[in-house]
Amino acid sequence: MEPRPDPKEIICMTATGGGASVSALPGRAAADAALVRRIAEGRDREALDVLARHYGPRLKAWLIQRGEQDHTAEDVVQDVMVAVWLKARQFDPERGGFSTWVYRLTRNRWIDLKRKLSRAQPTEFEVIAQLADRAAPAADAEYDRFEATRAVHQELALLPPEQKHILHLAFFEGLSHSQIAQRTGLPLGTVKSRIRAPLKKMQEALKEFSEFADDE
Amino acid sequence: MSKLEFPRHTASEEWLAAYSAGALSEAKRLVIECQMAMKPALAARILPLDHIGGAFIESSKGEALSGSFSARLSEAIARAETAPPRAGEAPDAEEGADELGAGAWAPGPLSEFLKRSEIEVKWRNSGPGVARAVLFEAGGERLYLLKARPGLKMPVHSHSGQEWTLVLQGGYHAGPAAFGRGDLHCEDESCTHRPVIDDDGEDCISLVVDEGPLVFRDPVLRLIQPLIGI
Repeated sequence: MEPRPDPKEIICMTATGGGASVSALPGRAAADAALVRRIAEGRDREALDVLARHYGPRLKAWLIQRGEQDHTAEDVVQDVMVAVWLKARQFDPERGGFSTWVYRLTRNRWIDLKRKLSRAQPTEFEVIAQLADRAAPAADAEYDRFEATRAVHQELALLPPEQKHILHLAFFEGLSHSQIAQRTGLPLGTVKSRIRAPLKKMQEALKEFSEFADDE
Repeated sequence: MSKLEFPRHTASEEWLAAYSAGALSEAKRLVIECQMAMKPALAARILPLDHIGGAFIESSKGEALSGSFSARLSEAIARAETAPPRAGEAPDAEEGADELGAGAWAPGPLSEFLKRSEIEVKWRNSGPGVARAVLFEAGGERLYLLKARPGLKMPVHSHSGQEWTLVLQGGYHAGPAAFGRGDLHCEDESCTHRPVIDDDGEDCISLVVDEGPLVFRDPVLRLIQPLIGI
């Protein structure tokens, strides 16, 4: 059974017509972290199933959104879940939420697969063992990413639905600003500002957890 | 707390969002990965974008998995756990890249790419003081390395579509803007400029992705352009 977040911890849960819903559920992150710990420490297959039941369909939908066939999408999800099983000990909830980790695993696995297919080579299983979030090297060991994850979720949850929808199109569907303008009928400038404004807020929020020397 | 040094020049938030969303072309993705390897602080700029992707994944509408998923997952785990361990440590990404013509200037992701794709860096003269090594062309984009001698004044030119230039070694100026190792210079057809390579004794080597040939102001250069390949 999936763990239920503490209702008191639910900041906001909004559904929009565009399918762009974002929950800021610290309970979800904590429950996910507990499940990964059960895998790491107890090789708990049921814990993996709970994670797979929640994230598997969502990751599959993301892959189908990227143009993959049903069976390929499911193969990638399977590889990612095997990677979660094998690399559970490497997951550190203090360094970022499970949703960010599994999202990166999926994106990287999918890109590796595309690169392999483009060279017409069979997929090697060993690649799963290398599926760490290597595309984003650690920027700063002191960066409190768990808090950063929470800050981003909170900012997202507070956005009005139409703004969330635009972020969904940019970050979930991977559309460019002009494609979003075309899809929504909004002027390009409006699209840009509706993406830039919340991003700026998130970056402001993240500054509380890190110190940047921006030499621009 | 240690300070993070963001690259002075990088892709816009729109492109970084596309990177995070897995929506970039292979050439542009490689350029971003190379810049991240050279300027690890760039990851800090991409991190919130990945958090957004993760947050959407967490609460998005799913696509049902097939009924046999759990059983197949068990089989895959069993196979993974009985697979023989890989010999030794992970191979050094740069090992063997030298044989393919990449020097110390090549960041890890570029070396990895050259090895993975078995592409050899073959420099060809593209005019006085300039050499070019094409890596691949796909989806209307060209990925190549460009080497220019110190102090060289490039001809005045514009672009056909987008052009991204990541400096791997040396540096150059374009008007008042200076680009050094690890800086990414993004231009399009709206810009006309004349880059001048820094005269510091070192060749300037860049990784470039563009969508078409340069547009030279000089008609003679336009005439010989097909011959030099730029």
